Amino acid sequence: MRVVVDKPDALAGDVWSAVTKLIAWTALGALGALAVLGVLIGLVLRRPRREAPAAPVVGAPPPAPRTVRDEVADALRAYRTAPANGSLTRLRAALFAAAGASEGATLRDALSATPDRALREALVAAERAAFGPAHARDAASSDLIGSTEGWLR
Amino acid sequence: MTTPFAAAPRAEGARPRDVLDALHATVVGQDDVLEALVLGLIGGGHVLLEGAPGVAKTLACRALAAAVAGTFRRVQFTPDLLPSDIVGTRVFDQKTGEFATVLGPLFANVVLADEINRAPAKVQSALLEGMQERRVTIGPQTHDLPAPFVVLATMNPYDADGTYPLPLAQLDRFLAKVVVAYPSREEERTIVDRFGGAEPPLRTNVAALADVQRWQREAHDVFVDAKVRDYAVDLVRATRGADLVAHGASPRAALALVQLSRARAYLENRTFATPDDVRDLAPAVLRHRISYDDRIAIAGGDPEDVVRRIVASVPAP
Repeated sequence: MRVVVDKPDALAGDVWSAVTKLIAWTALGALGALAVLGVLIGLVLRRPRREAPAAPVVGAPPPAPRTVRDEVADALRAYRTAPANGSLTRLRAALFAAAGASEGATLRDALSATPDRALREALVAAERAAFGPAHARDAASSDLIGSTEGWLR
Repeated sequence: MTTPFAAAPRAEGARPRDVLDALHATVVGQDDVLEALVLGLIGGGHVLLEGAPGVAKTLACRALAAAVAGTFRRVQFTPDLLPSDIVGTRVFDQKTGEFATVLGPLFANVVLADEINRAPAKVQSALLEGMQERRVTIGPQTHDLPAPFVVLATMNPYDADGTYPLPLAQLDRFLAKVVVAYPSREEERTIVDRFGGAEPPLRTNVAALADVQRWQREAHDVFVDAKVRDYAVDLVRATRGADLVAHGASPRAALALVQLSRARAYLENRTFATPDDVRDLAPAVLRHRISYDDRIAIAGGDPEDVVRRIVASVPAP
């Protein structure tokens, strides 16, 4: 009878080689997984971000279109602040526009364009303030302010 | 036109509105014509009336003279009229052996020069010299014409045969020219009902001559803002180079426009003139001061349309 015994060194070498391979493949797999993960993360980060919907603003409705009254009110405010030729011309033009008279029209055109009594009073006052004699300008000016306020009310 | 402005305080006495009312009591319709006559009186200027026969031109002038209690003379202009027939002349008085001056019909407060374009240029020139200078020379002496002195001249746009058209320089002496149109059907019916062929009654002595002179002084003080004066100048300047205009209006037209606007403001009891005054009166001031292009006659156009277009092209301040 013959008994064959393998060399212990040869056995140890095979085991070591297997362990080394296992570790290498595991490391390689992990690196691959990390690479795939990196690519995925990169893709996710590069996607355009969707804007978050704006929160509705409470208490701020869209601005209303300006009316002729707004124009007259602004012009009156400017005239009150500085009752000079420029502001008077602006106020008179705003009143004419409110009456529906075109640029370059006269008082009669403006009066014939509107039946609004309060506006007609303001138009007449504006004419007196614009073309009246200097000594009567103060009275005409306060008359214009009063009658325009009356129309705006 | 009624004014939207409050009336300015005025001195006691007759007012121009009283004269205008008196004219309306005699003449049916013709509002613009009657207003122009009173404005001429206030403005101290002469007025030219153009219209067909029978549209109350002469009647309106007579009514004005009667209302202001002034002397009135009517001169029918004819081709054989001489300057001495209107201005006056010197005649030899055999009793005294000296020359005496006989003043012509021009020496009146209101002179009606009927059909002014029927007299030759020499007579027109003598009349217009008196209108401008308000004095005439007869022989060696110069005589002042009475004050107030207003010449109201009429012209017939038809029957042009045998007429002597007034040169532009002479027409320029007239403050305003009004076109006397035919009355409306209602107005014509009123004329028939009211007068029935009888002579329309004239209202006399509504105002004294002193009142007229006061109006002229007070109207001169009516305020005209710089913007209104600019507007008057712009309107006159717009006539120069305008389409279908050969020669535009002279600077005298701008003066006349402002003067007439003052008179209108005064008539309406205002202390200031407005752009409406200027715009309304512009046709009366400009129409006879413009020389129209021949193309108007060829195309059968209306010079009034040219004036209207010029006025409409300048925006009011």
